[in-house]
Formats: sequence, structure tokens, C-alpha cells
Amino acid sequence: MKRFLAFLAIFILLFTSSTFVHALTAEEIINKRDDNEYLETARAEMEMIIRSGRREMSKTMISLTDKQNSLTEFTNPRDRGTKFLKRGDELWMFFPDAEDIVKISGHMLNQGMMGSDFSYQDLMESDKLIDLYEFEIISEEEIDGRPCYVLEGLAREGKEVSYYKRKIWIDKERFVGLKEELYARSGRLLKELNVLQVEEIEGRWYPLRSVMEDKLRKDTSTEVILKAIEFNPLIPEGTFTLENLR
Amino acid sequence: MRKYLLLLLIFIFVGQVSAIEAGGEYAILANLSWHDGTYKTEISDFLNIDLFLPQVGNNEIQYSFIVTDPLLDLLEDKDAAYYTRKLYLRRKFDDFSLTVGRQPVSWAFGSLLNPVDYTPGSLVADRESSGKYTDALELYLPLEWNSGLSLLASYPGGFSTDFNKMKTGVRGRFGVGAFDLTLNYVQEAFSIRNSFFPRERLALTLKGDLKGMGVYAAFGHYFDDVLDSSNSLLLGIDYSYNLNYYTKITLQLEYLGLGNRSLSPVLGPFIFMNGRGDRLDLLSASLTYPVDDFSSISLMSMLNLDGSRIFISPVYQNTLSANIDLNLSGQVFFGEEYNFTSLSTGLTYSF
Repeated sequence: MKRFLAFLAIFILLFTSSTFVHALTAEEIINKRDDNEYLETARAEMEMIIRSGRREMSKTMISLTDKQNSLTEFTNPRDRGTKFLKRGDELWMFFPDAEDIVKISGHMLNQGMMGSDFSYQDLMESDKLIDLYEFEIISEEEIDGRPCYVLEGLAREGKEVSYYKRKIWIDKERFVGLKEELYARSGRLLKELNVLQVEEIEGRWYPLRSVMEDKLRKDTSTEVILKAIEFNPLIPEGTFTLENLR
Repeated sequence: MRKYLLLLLIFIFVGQVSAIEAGGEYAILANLSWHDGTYKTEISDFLNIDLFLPQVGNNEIQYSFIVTDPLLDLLEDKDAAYYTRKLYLRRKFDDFSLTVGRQPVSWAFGSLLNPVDYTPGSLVADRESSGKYTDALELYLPLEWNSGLSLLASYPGGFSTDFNKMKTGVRGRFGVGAFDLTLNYVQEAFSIRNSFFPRERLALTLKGDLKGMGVYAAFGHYFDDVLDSSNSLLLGIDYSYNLNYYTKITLQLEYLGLGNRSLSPVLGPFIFMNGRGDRLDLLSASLTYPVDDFSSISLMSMLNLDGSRIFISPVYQNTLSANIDLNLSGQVFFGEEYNFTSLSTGLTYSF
């Protein structure tokens, strides 16, 4: 009997310890997601389709980014040559006709960028999610047949974030976000992001097509299509400067 | 007609050389105005062409020109007027960059009016004049990522070896904390009875944020041997008010004080706001309401604080499909000597 109990104890210990070894924590899941989606440096070509009712407008752009900074140049006919330089918490804009460079006032940053459902602030949050939010796993669900971890993140004390709370659905196998809900401090749902297509590029899963919906407005959405991306390109010194914005 | 052949050749050339791209816009505008019971209608159009030439090494060439009334002149079998807005070469060296040729020189910092622009009145409340484009040589020295020094020599009256006909300027831009500070100096000649007199100006501008509000200011001092020395002062704020989480009304309010009537060219197309006395005190406001992602309504007004003049301009802007923008605006002016009202509509196609 003693031998049986000892065997049972060892079995329980092994079973539970193996469960602990394989169950990922929220932090580990977010870190794995960041391994795929967080950009140290990148060069991307994108198209943004802004929809409102049956109307739509397309904008194309080329963006260079590093951990804290980005330089975006619009290439579609209406906005061609318009550039944004995001440097830390500051945003500067270049108007091609007059070749003016103007610093954008802080209060403008939570407006929709160029009429889209993405605010300037959305684009300016460049920290890793784990540095901005404290996450916990709240459930597991399927999105389009793919099992996902559902994580809820609350803004860390003292961190300035655009959304107090975010819920993220992360693919359990590929560790890429498939859906995201962004909430105000009041608990009100502000925006919803749905990823329509992901692809493995240079060994990392990355969203190719996603749609952001502003839940406070009826019938509007902005689709972002990634046309090309290069991870970790060498960005020359002096790229994120006003001189280069000209 | 030769101009059209030239345009056609440019399009053919651009089509064949894939590295060169062309873009721009065509706009047609109609204006109905009445003044003292007299009505006047005016139709105009313009074609703006930008050629995007590939960068060769550290060299960049920009070429942009505007053809005024191309369609109207074609219908009337007239030669269209042509104006080069940009034709310059910029070369980046290790420590500086050099720009030579026709180029826009605008020292805007986000205000509706700018009393200390390189060319006063060349860009006022988003209305630009050809005065912004000048034949110039610019040397730009970057200091920090948000700081730099720009040295300019330009020829507003066309190239001349006469130093008196040259305009020179220096502008330093510095990031001071979260503020954008610029200091500038301009020397230009102005003529009285065919004699040229130098006129100098020293100015500073400041732009930043204060408790959720954008704040800016400009101060200019004009040294003048012939006329009295005088000052200009601009103080402004911009602020957004949330109607709901994402619908924001944006307000811009500014005061402009000019110490001398001779400085009134800074008003540009709003020169009619110049009042009775030698001094000008003007209050300007702009309010913008985004109707949706594609359209907005705005209201701009100016008030001469001596009570002699008021100007109000509502504007409706809508981005239609196929890269076409619709613009409807009204202009109402009440002055002591005369009033005027006008309605304008315009369609702009970007390509």
C-alpha cells in the first residue's frame, strides 16, 4: 500500500509540475507576442483605407521606425510628400507645398490621423505592451477556428497610455494578436481591432491586414494593409531629425 | 499653345522614364461677389504639376510649376500663364545642406498670421501667394535633431549683382524643453524714388504646450532709417474641445499688434483689415468642426480692434470620391468705407 501511495504521490507531483512548466503566464504570452510584433527597427510600406458608410478613401505611406521614433511619408496623390516625424512624445509635420515644418500641439494628438480611426497617439505608443500594461489571462476563445488566449491589460501606475484597458486575443500557436478591444477608464469600449490576415515573415508572424473600428462612431472603419516590411534594417544616424523631415 | 505642347511633352517624357513621376492637382473655382449693389462673377482654374525626380546620391532636384487658367485660356484660344514654383537643387554634405534655385521660403510656425515670415504676407491663414517662392541660395546647418541654422540670400526682384537688391536672412531653430524657439534676422532693401534703403528686422517665435493648450507667440523689431522703428507682436492659442470622445472642435485664437502701418503687408490677402490709425490691432479666430471623416465646417473671423472692420468666412470642405475635393466658402466684410460679400466654390482633383 505504501508503495502505491508513494507512486501516486510521485505521479501527482510529476503531473502538476509538468502542468506548471507548460502553462504560460500572461507576461510570457505578451512577451512572445511582442517577439513577433514589437519592432526594434523596421521599414514598412502600407495602405490605409478609411471607410465611412459607403464612402472610402485610400492613403499610402512609407514608414521608418525604431524603438522610440518614426518617420512617415505619404505617397498617395492628395497627400504626397506630407511627412510626420514622431520623436519621443513630440510630433512634427512637414507640409510639402510650403516646405514648412510645424510642431503639432499636444491636444491634437488624440485626433484621427489624416481622417482615420487611428489617432496620432495610437501611432506614438511605441513601448512594449508589457511595459505599459499589467496583463492577466482571463479566458481562452477561438477566433476563426484558431484557439486564442484572451488577456486583459490595465495601464501600469504612472504610465501615460491612450487606453486605460485593453483586451487582446493572442493566437495560442503563432503568438500574434488576432483581435484587440480598447477601453476608456470608465469601462467604455472605444475601439476594436480585428486582424484579417497574418503571415510569417522572416520567421515571425505578423499582421498583414487589420481593421480598426471606432466604436463611438457609426459605420466607420480603417483598414491597414501592409504591402511590404523589412525587419531590423540599418537606419542611418540623423534619420529622425528635422533636417531629414525637409 | 506652345505651353500645351510643352506640357504634353513633359507627360510623354514622364510616361517613358519610369523613375520620374508626376503628380499635382487641377482646380476650377467660381466666385460670385457683390459690392454696393453690383454683382460680379468670376471663373478661374489652375493646374499645378510636381515632377518627382529620383534622388541621385545626395542630390535632390525639385521641379514644380503652375499653369493659371489652362482650361479657360484654351477655350478662348489664349496662351496660358506659366509660373515656376520650385526649380532647385539640394545637395546634402556631411555637415550641412545647400539649396540653390527657385524655392519656397516659409517660416511658418502654426499661426494664422505670421508677422515675422521671411516674406511678409506670403502665407496667411493657409492662403499662399507667389511671394513665398523666391530665387535663393540656402545653407542649412543642423545642430541637434530639432535645432538648426538656416542662412539665406535671395533675389526677390530677379537675380542681380547689386547687393542692395538682395535680401538676406538667418533663422535659428532651437528645441528648448518642449518648446520650439526660432530667432530670425532679415535684411532687405526697399525703394523710395529709385533709391534703395536697407531695412532690418530681428524676431523670435515660440511654440509649445501649456496645460493642454497649444500656445505660441512672435515678436519682431524693425530697424528703419527712413521710417520710424516699430514692433510687431503676435500672441495665440489653439485648443480642442471634445464634443464626444472623438469629435473635437478645434479653436485657434490670436492677437496681432503692428506698431506701424508700413508693416501691414503681413496681412497678405487680408490687407483690407488695415484700419484707420497708424497702428493695427487685430483679433483673429478660427473654429473647425469635423462633420465626419470626409468633411468639415470651419469659421474664420477677423476683427480690427478699432471697430472699423470685421471679416467673417464660413467654409465647408468635403473630400468626394475619386480624389476630388469640394470647397464652399463665403466671405462677408463690414468696413467703415465699404462692405462686400462673396460666395466661392471650387473643385480640386489630385493626381
